[in-house]
Amino acid sequence: MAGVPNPFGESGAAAKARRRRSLILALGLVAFVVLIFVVTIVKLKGNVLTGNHL
Amino acid sequence: MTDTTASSVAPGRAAETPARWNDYVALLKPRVMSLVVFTAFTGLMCARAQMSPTLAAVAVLCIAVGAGASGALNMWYDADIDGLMRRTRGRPIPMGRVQRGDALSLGIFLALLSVMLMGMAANYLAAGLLAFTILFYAVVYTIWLKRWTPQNIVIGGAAGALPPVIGWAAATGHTPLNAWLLFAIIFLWTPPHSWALALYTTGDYAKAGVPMMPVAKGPASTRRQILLYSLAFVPVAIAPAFTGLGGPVYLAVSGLGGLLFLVLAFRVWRSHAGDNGNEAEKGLYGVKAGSKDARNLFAFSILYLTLLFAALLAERTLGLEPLHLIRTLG
Repeated sequence: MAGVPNPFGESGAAAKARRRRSLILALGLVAFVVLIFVVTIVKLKGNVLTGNHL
Repeated sequence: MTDTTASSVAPGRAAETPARWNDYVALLKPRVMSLVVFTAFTGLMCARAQMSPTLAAVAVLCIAVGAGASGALNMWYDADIDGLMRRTRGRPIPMGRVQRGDALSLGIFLALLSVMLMGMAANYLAAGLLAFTILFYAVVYTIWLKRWTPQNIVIGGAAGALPPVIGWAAATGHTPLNAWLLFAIIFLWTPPHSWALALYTTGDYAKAGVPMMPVAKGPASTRRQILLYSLAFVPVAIAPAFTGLGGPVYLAVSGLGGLLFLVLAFRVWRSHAGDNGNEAEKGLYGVKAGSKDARNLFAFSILYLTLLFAALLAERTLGLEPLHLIRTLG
């Protein structure tokens, strides 16, 4: 990537900070998806065990 | 969403300083969040309900994220006055690292997310209480009360007092009187705690135009009200030992700590805290001689509230039975 001009006209530090923020955001979204999945499974399991699904 | 104003950027700071991810974490007020999580978790545990540990953890996470959303919305609205006060001028928006619009977006996003997830993981009562708490803190306290009345932290304190009730509701789906007793403890603790700090940071609040009690009514009136609220607070803090919520450890901690709290409040009342005007120049907690009593009460108030909830949590964890000196309200 050396020598390629930054399309947003950012400094190196700004581009690095933006990349880091984007990475944290991506990880946050993945964590959120996993969380929703886990909550769904736990709720589903609880309802099946108690017969609330019938 | 890019409306960073000149007033929100500290002089001499570049507005285009790149935001780091931890600037966004700072918007969520992690220290406040940790206290909220602690009290909410205590409320959840005190409910003595059968709840999946996973769902309990998610419920506490929702409360933490909701508290963070409130913090971000508070920093969005208060960016102008935050830049004027020593305690708050290092926050990401006054420093020019995060734009106001970004804080607003983050606050709204996290608020919606936390409330919806709470409704899904726990129940709609807990989700509704969480939504009410966020709205109350962001709109009623931050936008309306804070700059309008010296009773700002008295009424606004309800938002900070609700987390244990939300925790209890998440565990059981209802909120008995003992849950509201936890609310009352934090609600009545807030005025002496906040006003003790305000007594030796009067200059900051006056400069920002925030009508905190010492600014609006004077130090003498504030010291008197600190004592009166303390007299109301301590019996309520001891009350859980009589209502089937707290056990012998709680009775000892709340009783002895309450006594010390009253002694410190009495010393503040007799002191000249706040009379000298501005706080000392060296550090936020460096105070002039006359204000040391206020600083002592402020510091002890944090310790006392922490110990009260820690005692409840410890008793619940160790399986100690609560005392039933009057009758069970939970």
